[in-house]
Amino acid sequence: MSITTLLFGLFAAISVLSGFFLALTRNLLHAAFSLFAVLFGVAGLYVFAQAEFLAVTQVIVYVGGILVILLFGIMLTHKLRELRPGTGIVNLVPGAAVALSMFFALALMIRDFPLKAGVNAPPVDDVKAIGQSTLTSYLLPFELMSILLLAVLIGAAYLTRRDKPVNSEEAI
Amino acid sequence: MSALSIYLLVGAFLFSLGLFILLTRRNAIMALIGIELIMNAANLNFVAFARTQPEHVDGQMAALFGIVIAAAEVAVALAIILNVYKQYRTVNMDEIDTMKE
Repeated sequence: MSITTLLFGLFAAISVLSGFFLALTRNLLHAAFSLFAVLFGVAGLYVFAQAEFLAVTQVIVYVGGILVILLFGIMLTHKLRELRPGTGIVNLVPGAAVALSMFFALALMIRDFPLKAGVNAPPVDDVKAIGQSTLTSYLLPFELMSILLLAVLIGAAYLTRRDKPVNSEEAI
Repeated sequence: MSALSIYLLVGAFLFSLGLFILLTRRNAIMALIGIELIMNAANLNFVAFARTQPEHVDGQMAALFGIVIAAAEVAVALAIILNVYKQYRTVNMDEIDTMKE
């Protein structure tokens, strides 16, 4: 067993095990931090799929951005004086049944589906290729993404603005 | 077992976990975490299948756009959750049952 296989298994185990912990914990903060571990493990898997650029993007965007936003959300909507911002588990048995049967259905499909074995393509310069296709064949989605992000920026700022009594009818 | 099917199995597992979290939690932020897991599973599948192509770019671009959409979704969803919390003083989805007070 080579060191590559070992590391691959390690990252897969990190994401699977911390995902398991994430699904079972009742503490929101623990959930957020195990989400961090899951995302980190998935970033490691990206590296082994020869998607280094995506791995770095995953770490920067998810871990640096989304996780921080989630933590802010938790702290703004829970009283941390309670020390254990909890989240109860409801419908445990039906939820577990649905999730398990979904997993086994997907696993059976993966086992029986005629998957094409990986093409051992010569390693390409992924960053260069991604940059080129961003500005050529994926130009329209790229521009749409920028419009989406602008709309999200304005929308989120608008939604969370502090209410000012502008209109005397609406001011309460 | 090929490396591709391991990727797909991890993706399927993360997807099922996200589904489980969505079904069993009533906390809005926890539901958001579940959605994040599901989107991550989808991105993992994109990357894994991109590996089987001679050029790796198409699947990676899809995953890249997926990451952007996930970031946008989290920002808007948390803004909405903050507003809901301001209105109801709770983020439990079972207790939020009126459109307007």
